[in-house]
Amino acid sequence: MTGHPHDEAMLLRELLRIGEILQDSSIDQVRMLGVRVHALTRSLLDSTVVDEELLEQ
Amino acid sequence: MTRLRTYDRLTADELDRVQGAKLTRLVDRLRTEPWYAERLGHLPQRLTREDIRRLPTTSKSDYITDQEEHPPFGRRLAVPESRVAMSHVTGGTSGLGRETHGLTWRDVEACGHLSGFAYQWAGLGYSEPAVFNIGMSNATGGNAMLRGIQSIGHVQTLIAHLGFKDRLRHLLTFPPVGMFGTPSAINGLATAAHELGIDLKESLPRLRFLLTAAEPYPVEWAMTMEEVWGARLHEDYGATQSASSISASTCERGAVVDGARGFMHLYEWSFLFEVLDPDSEEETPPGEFGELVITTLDKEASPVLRYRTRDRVRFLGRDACPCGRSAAVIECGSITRYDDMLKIKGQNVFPAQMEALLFSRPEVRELRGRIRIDERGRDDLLLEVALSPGTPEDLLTELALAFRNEFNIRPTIRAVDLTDLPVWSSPEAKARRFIDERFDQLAQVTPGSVSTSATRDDVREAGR
Repeated sequence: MTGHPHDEAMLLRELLRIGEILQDSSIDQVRMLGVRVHALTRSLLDSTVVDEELLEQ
Repeated sequence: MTRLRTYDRLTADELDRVQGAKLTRLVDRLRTEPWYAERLGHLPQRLTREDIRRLPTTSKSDYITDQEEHPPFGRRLAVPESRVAMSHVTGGTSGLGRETHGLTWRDVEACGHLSGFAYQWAGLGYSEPAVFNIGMSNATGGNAMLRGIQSIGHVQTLIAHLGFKDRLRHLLTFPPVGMFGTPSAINGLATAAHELGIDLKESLPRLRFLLTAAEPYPVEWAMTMEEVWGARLHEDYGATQSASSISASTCERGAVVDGARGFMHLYEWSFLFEVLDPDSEEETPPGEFGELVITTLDKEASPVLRYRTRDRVRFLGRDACPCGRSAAVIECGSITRYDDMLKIKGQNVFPAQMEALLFSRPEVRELRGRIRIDERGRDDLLLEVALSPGTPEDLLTELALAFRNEFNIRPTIRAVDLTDLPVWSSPEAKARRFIDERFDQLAQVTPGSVSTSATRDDVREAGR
């Protein structure tokens, strides 16, 4: 974990990473959960919540 | 503690930076995809939003040709086909064909997040209910509305598959705070309520906003609907090519402000919009009409590069709206087409295709199509057909069925005398056999023609 449990932006980044990890699961249903979690978080960062890292580029 | 902020509150400078970064990311990803690589040419590694002008524009025919050569998605599919979670098909039957656009799971979720802005700005709050008058199909609209509402609130009931009176019954049983519908649908529901003796303002006290799209409308009609429904009218813009999502919408101020047309903010953080002169492809100055051109900055499966929509919009530039959002705006209620595409009962159709189908029967000598709002407030296509002498009128039933199968539109069809129809024999006269009468009809709507003083219980009873 990041050590910053109240930091919303970092929690989103963690969620993105958890999605990525779950996508490699040996169980298909869990893999699909990972795909959905990752897609949901990625799309949130693209569409709604400002991805501050993008602004810094 | 770092709090999150949303893209709609970026400054103009930040919007430029986000667009440049996303364009760089997009081009970097597409460089290895042959269909795009042919169009990207030599671009620098880091791009700004202005670099988009170095790319050629694309059009429907480019996409259809690609699809025909490499079905079903074409070479422009920018992810492995196994990642396509959903697809949307354009409704247009221009003779060129229907475009198929793939979506990954990210694209599906983004469609909801983006479309949610339209509902949020219109007034939908966390966990609140809203409804939409557009059917679920392979077309984009239903999915965008469902997921857009669900990104913030609830859809407690689907209503688009019902007749207007049954829809009203559902609205009273599950009172929403907001409702999406085309101008025809919003007007049709108001007319049905009038017939049933329902006062919509009294019967739906929670209703806060109406969200409309897809058809132009007079300001007077918008103000009448606000009065009849007791809710503010908002508007959105979206297309299959704009990531199957709503991609512009009104802010809290609504579609009509102080008796004049309001603005829709373009979602510039996820799309790079241009408004161009359709002939010269030069940028249109603020205040002028031009063609909306779309580049999707985030779309994974089927991105579009400088897609010419043929939609004619009035561009008003950035920082034009006093709401504080920087994103550029286009005018409400005045979007039309540069081609002759018509939207009838939610279907995009072209006159040439409809004429080809009807004239495929040699007994059809001449015809006229009138797109209008019928006496019950519904969108209707009235086909007036002049048949050769001695032709059995059963042919009209056959034609209506063939029309429905081809265009998913059930027309009203009737035989008329050849002399009742305009003559298009002059070689210099371009035949205009299909006439849209709806805008003029909407301009005639008054509060007295669609509002009454009945109660919620009356409508529940009448709807049974």
